[in-house]
Amino acid sequence: MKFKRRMKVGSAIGSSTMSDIVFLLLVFFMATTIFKDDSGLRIRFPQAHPQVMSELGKENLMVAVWIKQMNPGDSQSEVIARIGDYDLPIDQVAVQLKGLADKFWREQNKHLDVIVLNADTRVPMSAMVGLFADLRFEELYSIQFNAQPLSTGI
Amino acid sequence: MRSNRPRATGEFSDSSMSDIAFLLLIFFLVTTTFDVQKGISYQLPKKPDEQTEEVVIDETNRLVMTIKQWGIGSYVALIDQAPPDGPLQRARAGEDVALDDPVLQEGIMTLAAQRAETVETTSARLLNNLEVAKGVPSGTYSSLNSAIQAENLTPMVRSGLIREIMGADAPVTVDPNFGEVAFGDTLVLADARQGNIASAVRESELVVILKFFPDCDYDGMIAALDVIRRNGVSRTGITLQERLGGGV
Repeated sequence: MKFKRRMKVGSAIGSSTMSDIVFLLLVFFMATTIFKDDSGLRIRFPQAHPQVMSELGKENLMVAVWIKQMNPGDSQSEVIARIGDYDLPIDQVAVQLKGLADKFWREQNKHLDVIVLNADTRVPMSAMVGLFADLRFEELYSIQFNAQPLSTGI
Repeated sequence: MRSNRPRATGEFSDSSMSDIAFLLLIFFLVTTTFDVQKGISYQLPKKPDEQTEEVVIDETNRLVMTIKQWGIGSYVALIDQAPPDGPLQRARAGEDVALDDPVLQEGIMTLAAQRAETVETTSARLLNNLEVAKGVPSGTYSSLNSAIQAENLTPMVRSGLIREIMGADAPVTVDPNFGEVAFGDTLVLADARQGNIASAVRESELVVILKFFPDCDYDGMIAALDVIRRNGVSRTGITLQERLGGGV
């Protein structure tokens, strides 16, 4: 007498959907990730030796200021600054920063640690020294001059 | 008659597809770098008021240079005042030198190294930084030595740029806690749990005053700061060259 063979139970798990899930995640994050736009001015960064430069820690509360002369090379041309999305004349920068520092302190109980200056290489020093004097007057002392690292050796 | 030939199936194995996807994901995770902006840190001097007296820098610790632009990306320095009996005297007679001139750079480094602060001064600052990092009131520890004992800290020295440039010629001071400390080195206190807790750089007491011509560009200021920082000077003043009928 011939017995019927019993059906075997397969032990494989279908993994074909795994790739769908991974690709779905990949596409989701690619579509939703937004890189924070610096919204700065188009400037030429100065260059400095990497070993004299420091990087700011993430815990530091900082405000970036972009500075550029409207017509570089023309001494009569206005020097403008940008903080966030707002353009303003350079002589109002310190007052605005002081206002921001006070706001941080009032609302978040945090000190504004550093003012990061992204200034164009061609901005005249007369404007920069004026800005330093204004910052000092508003008791904002800590500055970082952003620069690009020089690729050459010492 | 039945044939035993295997039948071709219409399936293909797609189990490796997830491997490929993960591999791509991990590759991009590892290789993506975000641009980190670096820069030269600078501390403006405190605003003078009724309480604080104006700080007068001793002539022996003061180097005054005027920076002038000499074409695009080229700058010259005029030594207005150099500490007496040291290098850079010859350049006092209104002679201008390029900022990248090796004699100027060597002169600045020699002046800075001669005025390196004592390791005790750096240690005192380190103790202060430690108290700030620990969040304890100033004066909690009677000395750096007792703080090291009490907190079970490891004192270390991280060699600086000056030691890298001067090599074995760099003058060193032997300290009981840290061993050999050269000018420009960083004193670090570390513990087993948190790693580096506090640090302080052995600085120079030399102050370099940079006077810029008003039409000199910002690039010149960064170039000048770069030169003097590379040669061990951390204390700098920035001002404008005063002119008749104007100036700041």
